[in-house]
Amino acid sequence: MAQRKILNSEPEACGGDNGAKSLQAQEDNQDRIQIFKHDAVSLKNSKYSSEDYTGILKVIHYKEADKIYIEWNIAKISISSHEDEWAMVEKQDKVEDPVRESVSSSAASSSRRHHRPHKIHHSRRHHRHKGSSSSSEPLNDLEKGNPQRPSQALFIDLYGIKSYRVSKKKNTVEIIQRSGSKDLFLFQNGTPDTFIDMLRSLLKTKRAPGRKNLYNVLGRTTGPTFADLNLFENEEQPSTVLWKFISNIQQRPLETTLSSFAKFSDYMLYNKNIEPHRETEVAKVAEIVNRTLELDEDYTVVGGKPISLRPRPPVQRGDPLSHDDWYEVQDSDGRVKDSDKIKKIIFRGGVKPSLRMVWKFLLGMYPWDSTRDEREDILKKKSQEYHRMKQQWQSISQDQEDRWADYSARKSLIEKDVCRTDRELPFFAEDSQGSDRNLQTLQDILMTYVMYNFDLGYVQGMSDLLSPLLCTLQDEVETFWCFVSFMERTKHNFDMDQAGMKKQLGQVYQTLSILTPDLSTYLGRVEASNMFFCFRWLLVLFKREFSHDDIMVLWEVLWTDLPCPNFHILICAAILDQEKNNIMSNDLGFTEILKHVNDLCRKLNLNSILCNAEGIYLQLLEAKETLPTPIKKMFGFVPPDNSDSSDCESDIDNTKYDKPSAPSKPCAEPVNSILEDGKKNLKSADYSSDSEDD
Amino acid sequence: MATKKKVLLKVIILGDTGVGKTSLMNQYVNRKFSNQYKATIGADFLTKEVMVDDKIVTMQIWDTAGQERFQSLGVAFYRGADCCVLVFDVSAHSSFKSLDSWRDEFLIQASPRDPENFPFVVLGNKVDLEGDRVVSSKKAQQWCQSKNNMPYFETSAKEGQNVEQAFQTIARNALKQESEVELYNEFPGEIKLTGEGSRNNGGDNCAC
Repeated sequence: MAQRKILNSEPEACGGDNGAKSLQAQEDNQDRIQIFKHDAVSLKNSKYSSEDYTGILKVIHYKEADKIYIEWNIAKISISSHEDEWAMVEKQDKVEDPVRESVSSSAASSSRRHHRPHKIHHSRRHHRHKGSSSSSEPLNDLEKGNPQRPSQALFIDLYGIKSYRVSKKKNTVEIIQRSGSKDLFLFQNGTPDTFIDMLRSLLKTKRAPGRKNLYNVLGRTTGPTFADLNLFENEEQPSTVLWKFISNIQQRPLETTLSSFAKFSDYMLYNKNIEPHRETEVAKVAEIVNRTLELDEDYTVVGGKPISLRPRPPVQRGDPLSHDDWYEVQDSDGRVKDSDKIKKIIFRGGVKPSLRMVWKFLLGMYPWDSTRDEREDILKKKSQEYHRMKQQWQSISQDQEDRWADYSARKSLIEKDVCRTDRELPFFAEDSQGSDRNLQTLQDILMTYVMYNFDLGYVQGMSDLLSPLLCTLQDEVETFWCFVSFMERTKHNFDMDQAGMKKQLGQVYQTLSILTPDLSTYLGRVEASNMFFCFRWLLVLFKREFSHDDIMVLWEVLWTDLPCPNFHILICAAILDQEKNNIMSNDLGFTEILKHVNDLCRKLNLNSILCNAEGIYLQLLEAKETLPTPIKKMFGFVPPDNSDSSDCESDIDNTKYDKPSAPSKPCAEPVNSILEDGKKNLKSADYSSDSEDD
Repeated sequence: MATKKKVLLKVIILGDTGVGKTSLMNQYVNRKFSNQYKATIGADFLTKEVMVDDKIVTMQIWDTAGQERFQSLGVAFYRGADCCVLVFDVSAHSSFKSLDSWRDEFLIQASPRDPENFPFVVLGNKVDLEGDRVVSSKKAQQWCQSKNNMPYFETSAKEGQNVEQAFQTIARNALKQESEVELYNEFPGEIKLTGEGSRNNGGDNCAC
């Protein structure tokens, strides 16, 4: 409905479903002040635990009664429980179901009935059994105004809340009232962050000891900040508690530690009165706290005081990797002696187009420290392996294919996409004889990849990822294996349940909320916090947004894994930050943002975006102690969860990455050899580069 | 609805990958056809102002990715749709067979108020490939009739054949839908109960 807004010019910021419109009038009443509103929130409560309803969540202040109510009104009947925005496609791609019913007049209705009847059945019975006793005034108001409404509404007295539980993973907030009633709100359209911020601004809360994500309500807040929170149960000085805790840290069992940490991290986050001379110690301890809390998957810092970042440092791009650079680092056997240096140069300036065979190293087809002879052997083996797999699909007869729907479906998808992949490039154009040899190679590689990874098979977008590799490397076998490596990095973009895409969209939002909270708040307000408009960027790593030449540079940069893991998230953030004014000053809604973002295609300046993304990285790095754990993890400011590399320093010091401090010195400095052990893998967080300017 | 609003009609084009959704949209809005369209990733839309029965309306036509894996995105885009266009390729039988599931999926994800009467329009595209046709006009029409008489058009996005006419019908049906929704919004408290649900409507439903 937000789309409708564009032309309807209603006063409301985000159009809602029916419920919102009817309430609008009542909110014009001066007694009612809407503090908060969020569309597409579904409700699950203790009585009907199996039922879900979608509605609008608001927080209304009734001035005269001096009461604040969390109000939820049904907007429509939800259709899928926890994944409304991302409704799960339950079966495999439909072509994979060969016996699917074809034409059945009752198919649509029966399927719908299958999904919804019991919910419809209950919709009328879903009454305000929660909180109604304590909400007589507003309820009466409502009942006078619209007798039908309360039967689909829920009212919770804000000051009757005992505690609340947050799951950032599931985007839910459960409200537990003093009466014992529990109501679970699921934010289908984004995160509950703004809701939680709002709760925290109105209620004094404290994390329940030893309970992750559960917050007890202590009472009303007296001021707008959390500075006055008394987070410590006893009357001891917070610092006394702090240091006592540190002395006990090694003896205490995990649970006790976690509970103390939870308290402590609240203190760190919300107490502004830490003595200045303790700040560095506190920061160090925060580091320990966060690392320990990584044990707890669900843990995230909720809300928190705004993190102030220093101004973005200027960053310059450098020259592309040249033949001189390349041959300089090789020994007589062809080993690349200093891959860190090479990566740094590529990160800063890309690769000269004629030298792009280094992709084979960058993507890991050849180890950096392999000799020329070893590489010949590798190629021989890889070639055999490739042709074996190619032979597999080439020997499938039409007859066999007719009885193998899974295979046939993959093949047909590939055929449909190959002929519309980058056809504007001369490389993929038909030659004068009408032959499209390169297109055929593209198809062969994708078909062979299906044999290499049948479960993943072919998903739209893969041909986009393959095309520049083939154009550049041209050799079928080498291109295939480089593609395999590239897919290793990006395969989660193609998850059946889109989990990888969801995760990354969330990461972009999280990053924005640190980098430019006004934009993330704005996006939340216009119901765009799902970040769907970044979907294409992420799915094919900006392939559609940049020219053929630019995308090769961008990918080279990403393949260096410098300066941090998930640098592509920072690229998204850099672009959005750049477009922030366009978005906010024009008051764009979700639909318009999508259009605006889609229209940026081929209009973006790669160099300035890369500079900004790196600048953002430096900003975050500088503030790394204060960042929430998910952000720290995302950009490798703490070791990754499953530390799989023994050579990954426990305390990664990102300053090892060469900061582009002086514009006059844009190129990377030579690195020393502390980490030069030849074991560089492609995994992120392996900071192969090091050294401050030496 | 006291003031006269500009009307925005939201139209969603669905169908298997490669049936010509992007081409149809571009042919209708820009009167252009290109052999170089890429597979759609994510979603995009174009808008066009049209006259429907002396009324100027803006059509917002949404084009989405055809691979089923990406349908999970759909909900965000289907919401508030006024008409759904189901496209198949007359030269690909599987794309015709998929129409059922596209229709179902749309109704599930968009959950329109009155699913039984939600306007769909079916387009059999690529009729310029007459030699390759495998879905007969008759067969398609029969299916459309069986589905609450959905209007059916045979189009060629490449040559522009029937595209204008089809979208006129789409606009008209969308407008009808839109007015009904507007009307409906006057009574927001009501929830339409259908099927089994309605049987429980008369009794004591209060759970308190």
